[in-house]
Amino acid sequence: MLNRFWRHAVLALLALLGLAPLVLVLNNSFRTTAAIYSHPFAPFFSGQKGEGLLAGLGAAGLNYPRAFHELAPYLINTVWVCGVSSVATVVISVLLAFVFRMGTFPGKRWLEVPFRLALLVPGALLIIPTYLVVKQLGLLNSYAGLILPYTVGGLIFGFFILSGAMATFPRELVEAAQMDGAGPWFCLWQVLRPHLVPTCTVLGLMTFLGSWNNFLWPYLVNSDPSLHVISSGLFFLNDTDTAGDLGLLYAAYVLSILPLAVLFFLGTKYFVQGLSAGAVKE
Amino acid sequence: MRTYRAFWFLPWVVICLSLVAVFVWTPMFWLLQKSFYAYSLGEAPRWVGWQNFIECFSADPLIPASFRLLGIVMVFQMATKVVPLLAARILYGLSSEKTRHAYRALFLLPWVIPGVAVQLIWLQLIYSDYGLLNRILGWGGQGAPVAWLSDPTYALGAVLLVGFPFVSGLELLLFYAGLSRLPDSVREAAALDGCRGWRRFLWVELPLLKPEIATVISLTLISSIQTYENVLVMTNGGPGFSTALPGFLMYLQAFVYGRFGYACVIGLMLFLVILALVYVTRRWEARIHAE
Amino acid sequence: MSRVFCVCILSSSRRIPHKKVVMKSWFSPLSAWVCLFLVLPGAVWGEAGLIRFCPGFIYYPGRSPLGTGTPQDGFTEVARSFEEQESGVRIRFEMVPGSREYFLTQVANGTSPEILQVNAEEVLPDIRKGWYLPLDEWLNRPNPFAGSTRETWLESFGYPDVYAKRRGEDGKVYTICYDINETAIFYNRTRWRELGLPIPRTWAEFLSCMDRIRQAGYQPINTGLDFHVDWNLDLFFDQLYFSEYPQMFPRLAQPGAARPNLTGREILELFRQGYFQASDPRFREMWRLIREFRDYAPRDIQHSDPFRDFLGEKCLMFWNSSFFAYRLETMKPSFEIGILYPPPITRESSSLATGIPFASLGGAGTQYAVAKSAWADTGNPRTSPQVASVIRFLQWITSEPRYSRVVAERPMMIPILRGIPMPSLLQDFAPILERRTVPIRWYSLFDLRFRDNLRRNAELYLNGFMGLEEFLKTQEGNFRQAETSRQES
Repeated sequence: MLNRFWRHAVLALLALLGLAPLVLVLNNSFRTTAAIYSHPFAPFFSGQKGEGLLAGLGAAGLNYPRAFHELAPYLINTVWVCGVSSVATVVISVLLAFVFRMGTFPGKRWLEVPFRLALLVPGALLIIPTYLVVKQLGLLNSYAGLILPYTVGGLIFGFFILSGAMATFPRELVEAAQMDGAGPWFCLWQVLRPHLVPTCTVLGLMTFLGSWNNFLWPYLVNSDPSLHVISSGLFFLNDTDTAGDLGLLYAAYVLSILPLAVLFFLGTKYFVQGLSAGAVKE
Repeated sequence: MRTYRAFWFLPWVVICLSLVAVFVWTPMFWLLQKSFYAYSLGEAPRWVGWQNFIECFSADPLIPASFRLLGIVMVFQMATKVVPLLAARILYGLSSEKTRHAYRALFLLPWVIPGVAVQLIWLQLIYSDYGLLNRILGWGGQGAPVAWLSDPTYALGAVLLVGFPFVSGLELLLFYAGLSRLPDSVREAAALDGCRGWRRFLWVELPLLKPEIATVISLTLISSIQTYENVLVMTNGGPGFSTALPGFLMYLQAFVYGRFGYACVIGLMLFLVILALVYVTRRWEARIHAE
Repeated sequence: MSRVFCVCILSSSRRIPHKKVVMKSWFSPLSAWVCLFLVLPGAVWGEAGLIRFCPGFIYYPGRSPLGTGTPQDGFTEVARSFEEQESGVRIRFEMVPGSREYFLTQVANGTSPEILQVNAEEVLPDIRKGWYLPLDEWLNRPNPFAGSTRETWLESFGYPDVYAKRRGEDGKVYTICYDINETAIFYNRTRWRELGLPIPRTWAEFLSCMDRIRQAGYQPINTGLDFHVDWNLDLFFDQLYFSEYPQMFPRLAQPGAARPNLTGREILELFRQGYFQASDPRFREMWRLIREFRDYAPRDIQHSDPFRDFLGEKCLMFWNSSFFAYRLETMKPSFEIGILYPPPITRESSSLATGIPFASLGGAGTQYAVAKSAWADTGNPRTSPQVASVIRFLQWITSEPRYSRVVAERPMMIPILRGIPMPSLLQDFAPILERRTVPIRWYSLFDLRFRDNLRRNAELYLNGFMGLEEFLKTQEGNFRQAETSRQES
């Protein structure tokens, strides 16, 4: 199709264009606010107006600790909320899908319908009524007010893909285990688990990513500053007295990316594997 | 294979069901119910019957305009999915697993940046008076800087362009997964028949990728109807109302004007549009799978 | 609940005696935590005797506002001394966002801090909903912590006009104005002298000064969009309608402190009489003048940073408020900074001009309101001990020497309390404060929908995307819509 040079050229161009904002921000986080005002796009190590490699490191030394000081509580909150949501989503979805796929109980056929239909419901449009529900439950300004809606959203999606994953599991293996007298827990934990791990990773990572990047919901639900998450935290950094401090802002943007970036570098393999395993096939 | 029975199955399902009932079905029901009331937060809801619907369909000039904008957004979002498709194909054609892994990581990295950060970065660094775009135009000889987000002609385009070149995201992985699903034998057979390169891609591989394409199209359509966060952060509805998407109008009516009942009507309308789209895409996908 | 889980798990695993499944040790604690979060509402409020106070970012203790200087501790000290005085009361400082969504959600819900820093324009549209406490009961009596018992709490604040303009439609005061923020034009005196420019005495002279600045290659003036549709509107309205006030607003003749604020109803009545319509020549002229003035500001007034352009000497004037004087000082500019006030609009610029000097805004800076979370304990503000504590705290911080400890810690805001000297940095604002204040802020008498519509359309008009006729038509529609909204509610 394309020879090797062009392939790499196109891919490299796309990758660089995609990463350009990140690179710009990274560059600017190594400069002082005054320098950014005068030359927004100069590299930090260029010799302009008192800049240079050492000056850049010095500026970073000012920007990053302050950005970390501003963001640390938000990062902790976000890691907690997103971590609990994704773990809870995976656990609850696995159990639910298992119960429906591998178990029977009275009313099974009918009880599955609400879960299936919930896939059709668009979450973003329900922000207003969900806000009213959460207000009614008294969950405004709490971790539960964030974790529960995320978990339920993840549960719906997770139930769908895990049902699919369990359905594609070869029956013979289960039957063999059952002939040995395996109970439901053994079946789930020893027999199904290796097959489910990629799908669960996909589910966990997507719930984590979705809840990490969610801006509107925490913005509405939480006003207590000690509960702010990273997305609203970044927004408020722009709104309040730190708004003019560009070096600080850009360092904060970089810091907000780091945890997820690390997670994704570690998890890409499983993620791709999970998708290739047909986890998201309709 | 015999199915299991345990006494805790039913209670567990009921617990999950009640969670879903509280956080999905109750809001859904309230969306419908509250649209018949004039509900201003802090006051008691007041029954107004069909008045909100009448206002929405006849008296509000913003609504038809916002749906026109929505149409533009949907078409644009679908068009941008060509980039991940091509990128996935080129990526798949690379020989070394390590390079593939490296490129995939590079492409996925922008996906993990929080959306708010991306929007703010584009706002400050690229669209501002001293930003990248105006700088490039300055080299080209354009005189005054263009106010991208303050000009009604450009504002929507500017908001949509955030995320250029649109390669990072779930679609890349879906297309890549689809390509790896295709058996090599098909490709080799086509090559033997003299069909290579672009022609093979267009006429042999693409038709086989129909399931993935269908999935991506339906996901894109549905998500483009719902997202308005970018508008909220970057332009707040744009100069005048030129970037006021229906979802944004819903938010504006509820949380700025305080008219929750009317906002629920807009939400209900969008939901019906989504239902219609879901129905159409499901039928299309079923047809594709039958092939 | 987790114990039930474990029992179930273990019992089901007993079916296979020879293949015991060892449950992972983390499962029970994990499920316990999950269940805990399912039931924990996370109540953050509701502690008895706790007053949650949002002082605003200017006075927030432990921060240095605008990143200038050492962290401040004025309010910390004042709060501690209050706590020592009153037993069982604790003050906790919180920061809240200024967004409308916050007020609609948190204040309405009764979960906001008890004392909020919020502008009167944000408070007054919602007083009918009972979200805020009217303070007249205490303002009309002496402040127990102040020296004298002869003057009331309200009288201890100088500048009675500032309070008069912030009364609600019911005539009551809902916000304590803690300091003053007055508007002025900062100008680059060094370059001004270099270019040989005079201090303009009329509006036409002012515009020609700006023309000369532009010819010299600088940007004449920098403001933001918010300014053009907010302060600017007040000032220009006053300039053009001053001679019509006796006809339009007979109530304005009443003495200052007792004069209730105008109601939206009165403005709508004037609208029906023909004011504010496209046919109203003064309304037209007002917008024409604002547009003409806006052309001297840079292209992107919504997102540009006026401050940096002024400091970088790209722009020679900067129209903002006294609050910026301190910030400019700390940036140690290389040029001399002076303060101007816009000169009167005379017949030279407009046939409808009244020629009176520009009024001052009478702008309150930090304002504190008491939100309904303060009487969440008993449901009735009159019987609530929490409200009593809150009021006492407000009285504490508006009495000497506490007031100076907070406001005079940095020369950022102009003190409002009578008898407190003006910081030397802000001396140039003193003559501005002596001017007459703008009597009306007409566009904030309606709901937010009105202001949102005005702002959006004004933005299009000021940036040249909408003509004057079209804009005036949209505003007519806006007033009619305001009328309908008032009838509905």
